[in-house]
Amino acid sequence: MNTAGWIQLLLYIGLLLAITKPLGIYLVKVLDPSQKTFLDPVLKPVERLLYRLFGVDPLKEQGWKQYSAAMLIFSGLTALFSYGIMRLQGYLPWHQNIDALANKTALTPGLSFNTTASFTTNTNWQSYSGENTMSYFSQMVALASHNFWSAAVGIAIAAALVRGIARDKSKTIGNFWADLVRIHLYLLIPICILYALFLVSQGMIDNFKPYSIVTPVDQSAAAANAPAQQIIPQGPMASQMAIKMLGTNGGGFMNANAAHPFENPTPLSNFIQILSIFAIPSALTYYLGRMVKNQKHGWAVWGAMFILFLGGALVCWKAEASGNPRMQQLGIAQADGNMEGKETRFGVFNSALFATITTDASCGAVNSMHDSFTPIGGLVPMFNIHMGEVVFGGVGAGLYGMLVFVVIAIFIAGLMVGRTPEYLGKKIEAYDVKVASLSVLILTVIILGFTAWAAVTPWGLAGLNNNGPHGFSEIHYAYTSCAGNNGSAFAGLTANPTSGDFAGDQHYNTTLGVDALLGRFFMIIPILALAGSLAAKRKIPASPGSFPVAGPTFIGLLIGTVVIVGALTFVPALSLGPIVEHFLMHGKGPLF
Amino acid sequence: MNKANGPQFDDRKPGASPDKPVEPGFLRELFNHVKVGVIATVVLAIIVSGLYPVVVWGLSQALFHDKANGSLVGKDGNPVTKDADAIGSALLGQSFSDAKYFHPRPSAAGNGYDATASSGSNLGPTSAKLMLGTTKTFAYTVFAADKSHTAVAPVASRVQGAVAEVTKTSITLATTSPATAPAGAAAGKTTYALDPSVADPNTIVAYHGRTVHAMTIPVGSVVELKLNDKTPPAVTAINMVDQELDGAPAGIDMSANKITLSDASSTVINVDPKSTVFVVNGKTDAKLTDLAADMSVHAVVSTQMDYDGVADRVIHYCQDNKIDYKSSVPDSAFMDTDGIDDAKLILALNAAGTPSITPATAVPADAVTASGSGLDPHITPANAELQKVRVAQARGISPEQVQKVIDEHTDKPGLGVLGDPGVNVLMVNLALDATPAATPQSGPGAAKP
Repeated sequence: MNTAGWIQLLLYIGLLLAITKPLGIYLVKVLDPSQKTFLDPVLKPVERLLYRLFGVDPLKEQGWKQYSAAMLIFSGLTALFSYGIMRLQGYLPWHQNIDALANKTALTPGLSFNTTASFTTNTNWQSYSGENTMSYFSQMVALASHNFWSAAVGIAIAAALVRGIARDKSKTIGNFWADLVRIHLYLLIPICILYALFLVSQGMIDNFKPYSIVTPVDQSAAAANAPAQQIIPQGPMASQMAIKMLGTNGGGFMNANAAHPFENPTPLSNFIQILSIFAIPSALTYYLGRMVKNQKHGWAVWGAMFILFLGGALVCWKAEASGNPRMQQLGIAQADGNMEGKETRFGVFNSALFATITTDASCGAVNSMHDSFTPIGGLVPMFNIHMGEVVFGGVGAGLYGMLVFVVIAIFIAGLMVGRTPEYLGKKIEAYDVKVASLSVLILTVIILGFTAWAAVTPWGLAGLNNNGPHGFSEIHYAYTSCAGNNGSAFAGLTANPTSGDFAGDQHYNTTLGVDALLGRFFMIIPILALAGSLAAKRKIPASPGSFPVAGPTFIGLLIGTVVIVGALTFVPALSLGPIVEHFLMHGKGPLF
Repeated sequence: MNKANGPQFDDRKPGASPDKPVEPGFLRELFNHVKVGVIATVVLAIIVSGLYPVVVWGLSQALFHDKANGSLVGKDGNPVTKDADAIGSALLGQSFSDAKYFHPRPSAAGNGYDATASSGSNLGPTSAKLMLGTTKTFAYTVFAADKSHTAVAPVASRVQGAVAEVTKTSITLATTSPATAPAGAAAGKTTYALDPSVADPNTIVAYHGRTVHAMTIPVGSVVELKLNDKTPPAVTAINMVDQELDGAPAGIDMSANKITLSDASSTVINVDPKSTVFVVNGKTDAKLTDLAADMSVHAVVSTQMDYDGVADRVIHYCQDNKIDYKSSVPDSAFMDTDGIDDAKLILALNAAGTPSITPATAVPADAVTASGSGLDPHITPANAELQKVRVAQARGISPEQVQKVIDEHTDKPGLGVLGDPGVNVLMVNLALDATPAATPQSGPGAAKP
């Protein structure tokens, strides 16, 4: 834990704070079709054209059921769109020029289902290797599109919930199609164009060239008449990677994701990437404060998120910087920390910070291999997802997830003091607590259920890359990541086996896809129901008896609720994985 | 720009926006949603998957042409536009093993720096494979016979023996194994020509996990020669033989191409159905499927490195860069006439269970761990420092000259604070190739501009 790390951490926090308010104010404008933004002169005609094509009136609002129906139908249709492209990949253009690669043919049904479910739900779990399996067309049309769509859906849901809280006796929570259009036009696309160009300026590729075949310098190990070659993958990467980070999607163009030098060329590109993960989620807390006319509440939610972020980041950094005693016993410098699976240009600090941020949010991009982290370093990402990714969280998903915890926290506080719980003037009643609990419980059920199943089946064990407790963690992480719509992995797990006894087995692809769908939609629908219920309630004016939703007591209560209600159920499973592994790593016993 | 007084709040009253939400028939509503959904999907797809990437592509190509196309560089280290002129990408690492080059980090991408298979090792902190490595036992020839066939027939196209001499065109075996000798071959020295018509890759061997030329095979090692059917026969491949295993197969796994012997350690033999010769009941063109569990098996095998692991890399790093070390596994357990025998070393390390190695200078972590991408272009300055002397000696230049090149190609932290410094291995090696070898004692000052 060196000085350079502390300076970078402070810089990161400072910049995150600095962008929260301006971007939050901008979000207020974007998420209200009747407001103007500075891009109106250029984009207003486009926006109007889109409404005309869609045949919708942006000011005609929807009730929560209509809003949900529109959201579900849009998600379903876009999923079909991408599934179709993957199944037809063989007939579509822009295959790479290398015979050994798999992108000239269709993806299998199982892999297509998994990838579709994963990209539709903003999970971006990847059972495939990008540079090998996907044609440029599939990357650009089937996958990059979902990076926009699933991000826009997430932000729309958060806006709908916030409207529900802010409004007084309203039957409607917004117009899904208007939200969708405005988020695309005014927020995601303009930022992404600039962001993508910045990434290219750092060295990220963006082209439609065939893969380059080059002859490397040192041929001393190669046979005289068969010079070694290196195939350099190419493709339209920057346009996809900008939205991958800004939309907290995390699906990489290449297999190694943001560890790949093309996907994350410099420490500066790395810094901007992690900043862009938290940018919109952080600004949404400001949006919340503005909308409910209680900016202190917005900052209190931000504060709770920040404390949970900082705690995780410091623990992960400390664990990775301390390194692995088993490696030190083999003569490796202890001061270097655990460098297995990490890139030199990022080092231990930026790898640990990235891992914490990508799992606080539902991003799932990785700039180092979580599978090779120390046990405690790998526990932090898992625990972050277990908490429901409410630490800033995914775009939209973080805020609506956290607001569910706010409702539960206020309910618990109400029980403790024996008063009717009330959130910003809205009475929290049995119905609200039920739907809120539903969206928290679904994660527990599917993560632990699927993990337990896979851990005792031959297909589950066949996919492992590590033995012992670490192997169990690979399974546990996979279902955690998909249920939480994160998409990062203990990537040694082979979820799409193509060789060995289980070649073609689709259990992992199918269960992980279902896991992602349940984790997304069984959370969103109760949340929209909550939005509808809160919107319909009458606002009671604040009184001295109202529960304060700002200040240290509230922040403490909220953090406690997230950790105890959200994550405590997973501690037994964690003790079978990283916790026991931690003691084994520090022990003298045999390795696995 | 935001107005100073901030935005107006949306405080729509229930009746302000289109009063009550319309409640048409369920199917009609559904149809309407689907209609809008289809149009939205198509229109938005055109925007985000058509217009947007094309705009980004056009601007990238116009503004940052070299970077947008993979930062390809030529022999002189300068950007090139044509693939044919490129020797690599300034951003991607590539393999270097010659002593005169700085060596990159170990790579888990394919067989090392395979940019179509970017990956980390994904091995965890308590992985024996990561720390100590693994070996694999490969069969070259498998003789099998059931009880009615006791004699093992020789294979005319394969001979086995200890190497007496290797030249560029021939290999001489000191003795030939009677079991596998060609008909009529007596014990004693036999010289076989290396097949000149056969491509070079076929006469190079996988020697204890490393690919080497036939010329580097040490005298005394036992090999199996694969001969063609010409007269006189010539060698088309050389396989290392570590041992010959006997036993009844405890299990034959056809799909994984493995035979497990029922010996004390349940040795697993990996067979490659394409190149392994099966002789079953005297039939020389037999297949793996002809083997049965009640047969007795005699296999000519070599145990080779499968995964090197951190400990093996530490030993290599120390020896390559002349760093003294103490180890709980003695050098005698794994040193061969031509250096480290990786297979022996890994077997010894695994046998030790929790071995310890204590180098005089702790080995930099990046030098012996695989990166996340398998394509890491950098090594740490500490790693470069330890390799510097070796590189200077191999090139006949002074360490100071090498240091100057290192400094020129060290990527400093971004904006002075972001990330860690790294020495770009490809760029530093290219720059070294462009540095003329100075006569000894002449420093950089001796060269006139």
